[in-house]
Amino acid sequence: MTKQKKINDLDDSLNNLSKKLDNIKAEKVNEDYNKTNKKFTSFAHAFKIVSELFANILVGGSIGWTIDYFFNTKPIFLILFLIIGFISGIYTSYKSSKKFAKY
Amino acid sequence: MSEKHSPLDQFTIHRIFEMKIGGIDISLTNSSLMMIIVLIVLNIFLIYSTKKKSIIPGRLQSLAEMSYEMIYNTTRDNLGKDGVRFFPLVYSLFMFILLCNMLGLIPYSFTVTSHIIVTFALAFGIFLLATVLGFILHGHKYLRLFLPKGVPIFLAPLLVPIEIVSYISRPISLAVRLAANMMAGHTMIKVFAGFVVALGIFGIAPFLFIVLLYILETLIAFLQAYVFAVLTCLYLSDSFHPEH
Repeated sequence: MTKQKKINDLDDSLNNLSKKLDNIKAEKVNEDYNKTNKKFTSFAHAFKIVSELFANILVGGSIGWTIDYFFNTKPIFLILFLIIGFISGIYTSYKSSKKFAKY
Repeated sequence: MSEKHSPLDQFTIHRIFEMKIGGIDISLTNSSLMMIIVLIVLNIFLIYSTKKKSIIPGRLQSLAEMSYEMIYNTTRDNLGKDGVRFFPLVYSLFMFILLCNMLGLIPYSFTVTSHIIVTFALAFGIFLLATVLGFILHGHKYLRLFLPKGVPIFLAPLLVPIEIVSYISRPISLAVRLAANMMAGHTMIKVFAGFVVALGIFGIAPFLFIVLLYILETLIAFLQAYVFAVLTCLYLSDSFHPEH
């Protein structure tokens, strides 16, 4: 009888051990996934900010140029919208950086 | 023949098979041929690799599963449970751009994504989808995106143009980023390849540099596809929750 009990106890502890091991493994996989994902997201963020700054100025400039073209007010709106484009580029980068800081 | 060796020569489009319907030129060019090849390779890869469905995945199957899982997690993290229905869109975009970039790295092939009109068409599609989706989900309240709550009304004349410019610039920044990255990389490789020939025996130095550059380009090809997918998710998430 006691022998049987001993074997049962051993089995139990073995099961516990394998469960613990499984948990640790799962955690490790999750950690690895999060790490690589975070790295990629940081890269994505960097690319995003640079191209957004550029695109905002481009869009601002072209909006201003179009308005000037149709209303014959040559440089006024181009200059105004270039400034607005620059501000909005900084503003967009600021907003996405703030969002990114939460990760 | 000398003008054929310009670094920008690899981006010229030429017709392979001329076709015209009602005055509209729909010839098969090297660009469209490359897109067809990409689609065929993509379909063969995904169908063949998931055919076996073994529990312990082989190399191909684990590649397919990894890409699927990565994009699925990104979509779920950015769009929430509701947004997972856009996963097929994001995944197809990711795989298409990834294969365009990767197959473009093979010598004598053509990089479709180095043309800004191709990337702009993709980005503008997403922009239209995000805008229409926002108006369907939120009605006229979607315009709140341009004037967040709690902003004093006297700031509106300044803030609204800024927000509109930043909204319109989204597809352009998406398109420019992808096209510029691909074009710059390929041009640089071609320029250094020219040095290899010009320097004779000392050409080994730029040759080694090209090898390193190719590794970097492979990373960038993957990264740009991933960035495109992530930003698609981010822009779509703005149409789900315009208030943030």
